Amino acid sequence: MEPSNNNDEQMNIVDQQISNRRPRTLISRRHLEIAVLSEIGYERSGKGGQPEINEEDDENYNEILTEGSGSDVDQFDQQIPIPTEEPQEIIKQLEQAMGIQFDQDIIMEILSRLPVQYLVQFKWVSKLWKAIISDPYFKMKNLNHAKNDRDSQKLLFYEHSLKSGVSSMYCCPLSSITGFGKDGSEVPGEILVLKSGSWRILLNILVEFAIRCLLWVLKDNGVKESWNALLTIDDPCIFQAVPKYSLFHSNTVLDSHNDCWDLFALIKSNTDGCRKGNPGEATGGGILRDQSRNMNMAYRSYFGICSNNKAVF
Amino acid sequence: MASSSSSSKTGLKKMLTLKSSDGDEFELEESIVIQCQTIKHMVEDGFSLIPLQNVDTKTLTKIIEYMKKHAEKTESNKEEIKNFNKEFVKGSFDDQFELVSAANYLHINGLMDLLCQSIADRINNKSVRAVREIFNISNDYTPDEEEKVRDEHKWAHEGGEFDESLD
Repeated sequence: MEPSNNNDEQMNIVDQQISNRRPRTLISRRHLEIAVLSEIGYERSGKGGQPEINEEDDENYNEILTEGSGSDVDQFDQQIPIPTEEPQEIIKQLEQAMGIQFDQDIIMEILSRLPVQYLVQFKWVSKLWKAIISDPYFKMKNLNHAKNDRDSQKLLFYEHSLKSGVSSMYCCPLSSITGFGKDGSEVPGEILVLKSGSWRILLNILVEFAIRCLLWVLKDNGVKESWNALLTIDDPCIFQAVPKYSLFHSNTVLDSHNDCWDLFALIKSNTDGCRKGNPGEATGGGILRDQSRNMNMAYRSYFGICSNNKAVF
Repeated sequence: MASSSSSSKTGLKKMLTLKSSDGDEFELEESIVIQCQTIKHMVEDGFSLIPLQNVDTKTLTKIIEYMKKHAEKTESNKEEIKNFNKEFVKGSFDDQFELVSAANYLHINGLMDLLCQSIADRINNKSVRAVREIFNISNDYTPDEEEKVRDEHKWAHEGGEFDESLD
């Protein structure tokens, strides 16, 4: 048995080492201490098998320390502060392993608040992040946030039916859950960020092709039958006086004096998803962005007919 | 009857003691502390000294500051609370992670929301490399896998300018 102050000293050193690490999570310090101590004890006693870590921490400390006692302790004293890389390495590994474990819920909370295009990028951070981001539960969470967040990106759809001559427009929160395929499957597509003027192009198409403009809402998320036409705008003069960034005049639901963000603030609060599932009719979509109040339009091309519309884009 | 109602007004409120992992004790009114679900449940179970082994003094001080402020929340001081929140989330990522872990542990929903949102806002244009550094994550992809993931989402990695800074 070495004197107890040796114990204290060792504890202090280990303590110090732990404090030097940036605490990222609330891993119990206790566990790190034990891990380091047991590793030291293990290395020095040269015994096989790692000492078990259980609830009787204090007994373990003593046991481990005494195991590595005698000349080992003298050696140990000369090496202050512990120069061995191993404990530090172990702490690091442990912290990382346990930290991630511990943080998974929190990471999910944080990530679910990110716009989807960053999420796609962050899949590249690590396998765990990719797993989190690909998780259906996470997608749902993310969609819910996107839905409730006024400022999140929304996908804007424009649909033109050649048969009936009806053009529809709808928008939805942009989330990785969205699938736009004919059969509802997710369609790989490119999202291209166009400059702010692109909105006008969309407008022009509306003017050119539209007889009526429909705004759709999905009442129950994911239920195809719950799509409803929120409003139908077929007043031709709507399209005649078009200010730079707006669609409709203020007598209809929308305010032409503000930028058309207001239009979407209004629509999106009632919008829930983005699958209409009208095979063959859908031709295009876009992202509307309100970060720093810039109008940005992105457009996503996917299944559909109407190649002349695509050509315009 | 009258005396009991006046005594409750004059501050004979139920006090609770929170003990941080460093051993420091904080005495608080119950009405403030019950914002925190974890403690609320403990109070319901009859505890009055509440040891918080996962929360150190520094973090606990911040959290108490938050709870005190938000306990005063009324219709009229919304702006003030908003400014307080704004100030509250300033600070290093490390501090924020400490706080968010504690908020998660203590189940303070408002604080959790606030912190997660602020962290999300801060990382949303960061490069992958910066995010790894901030979250202390080591890249566990092999070069081949990494290539594959990048290819899969090529469009997301190009064109944009990403922030490499760590704060």
